[in-house]
Amino acid sequence: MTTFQEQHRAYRTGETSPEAVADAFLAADPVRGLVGAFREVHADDVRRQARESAARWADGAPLGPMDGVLVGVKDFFAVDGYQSMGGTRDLTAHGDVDAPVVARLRRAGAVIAGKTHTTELGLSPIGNNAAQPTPRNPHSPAHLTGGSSSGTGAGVAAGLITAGVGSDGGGSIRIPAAVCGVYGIKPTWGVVPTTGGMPIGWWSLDHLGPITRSAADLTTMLSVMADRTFDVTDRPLRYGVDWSWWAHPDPQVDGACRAVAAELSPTSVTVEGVELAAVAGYATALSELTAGIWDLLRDRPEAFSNDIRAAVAQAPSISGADYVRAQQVRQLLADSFDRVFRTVDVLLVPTVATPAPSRPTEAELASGILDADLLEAMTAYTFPANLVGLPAASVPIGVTPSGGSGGGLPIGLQVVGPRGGDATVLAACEALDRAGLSARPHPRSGHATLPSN
Amino acid sequence: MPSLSPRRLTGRALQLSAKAAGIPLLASGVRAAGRPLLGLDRLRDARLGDVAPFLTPPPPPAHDEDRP
Repeated sequence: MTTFQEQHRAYRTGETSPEAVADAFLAADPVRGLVGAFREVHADDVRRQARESAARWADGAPLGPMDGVLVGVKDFFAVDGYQSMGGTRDLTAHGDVDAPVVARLRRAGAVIAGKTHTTELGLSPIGNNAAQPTPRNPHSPAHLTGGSSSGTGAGVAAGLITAGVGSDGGGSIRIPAAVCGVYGIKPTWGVVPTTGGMPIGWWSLDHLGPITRSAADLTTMLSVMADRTFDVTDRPLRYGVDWSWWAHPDPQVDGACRAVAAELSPTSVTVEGVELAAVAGYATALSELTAGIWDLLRDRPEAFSNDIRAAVAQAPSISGADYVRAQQVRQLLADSFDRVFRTVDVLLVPTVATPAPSRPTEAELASGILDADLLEAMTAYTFPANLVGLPAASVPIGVTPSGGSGGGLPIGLQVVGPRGGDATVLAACEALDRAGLSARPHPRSGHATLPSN
Repeated sequence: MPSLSPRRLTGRALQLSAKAAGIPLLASGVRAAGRPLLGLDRLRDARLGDVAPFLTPPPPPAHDEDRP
């Protein structure tokens, strides 16, 4: 599958052009075809951007490190010419402005390919959506993509786009990256601006970041999105594992992740309070989300699907004291992680405790799903980094063994770093690539990103 | 009243749960719906010690601290 470097080499040599790449993308019908990753694509706009990029490459003057790279944007964030729906049935925002992060991507030459699907209000980490189409996993149409950046994960993994913008309030970049077999990073809180998103209340947990097909592309795209450079070196790193937190994921996930971790000789550490992260995360997220959509819930509750209504209906059972105690858990976790990162550079833990969940029936998808076991399996390893604002990335390390119905499903290993240690996390991802410990699987439903001219 | 006691809800059971628990959102009867999914007792029983609330993550450190 194509990376930025391979794409740019093909543009320089004339093997292909941004216009040919855009035409192939449009011919694949990104909204209805293949994996159904996109909610909306404006073909004329994509062709115009590609034409302008092609002219720059022809002049030997690309704008920046992402010139001619097709990028999908999660449907929470403003893209000029598109409305944002946030995975809902009929709520809309934006239309004539770019979010700051989209403007930065354009300045680096990226071709904005359209709006990718998200789960409704970004709430489901599983990937299902009762209000909008649910994308298919490129590795198995009978499985989900993970969420909430479901379309971005599916589109990058399928090869429709070389990279995408996701957002992550409880794991929503890392989970689809892991479940779809690609790379994703949630940076340190505040490194990438979250302005230009739909104002629905993911206030203190949400982060924007890239989903890509290589660790090097993560570094490049995060630099563009953050408008700064990261000093990524190749010096040896000290790895740590909290085996109590790691605990007992699905055996196939466990085996693959342990095999990679063993190659890195990790130090055993303890993150005090990590067992409270899930409940603190949900208490925080549901309180903030409910406050964020308060008027809509009061005036037009039918705007939301049954599973969303059932989930946010739990908010009144969260007392003010519960919310504050959840914030105290965040302080406890921040202190615990600070102590751990005095002795190791990064922590390793599986990204998701289970391979891709099976795709429910269309009737189930339409009626909504609320599955507490799956919620726990999807977010047990991702929520802590959101609560504390730590940088965390998912690296693909292979697939479940073939033979059973679940064979061939991607597995991700998560790398968590100290606050502000984005470069350290990126360095660990690149180190896994260099050491041959990462393994980006080829999808069953794939798209040839680079057509010949 | 339907509750979220089952670990997986979909179809008719989810519709009933959403209706009973969520419309109107803040009506009485909502409270029982949330406990099984959230497990708030774990939060309420936790010994958190002398720690201050941490309402948002702090901003990242300066650029020059960001190195492996």
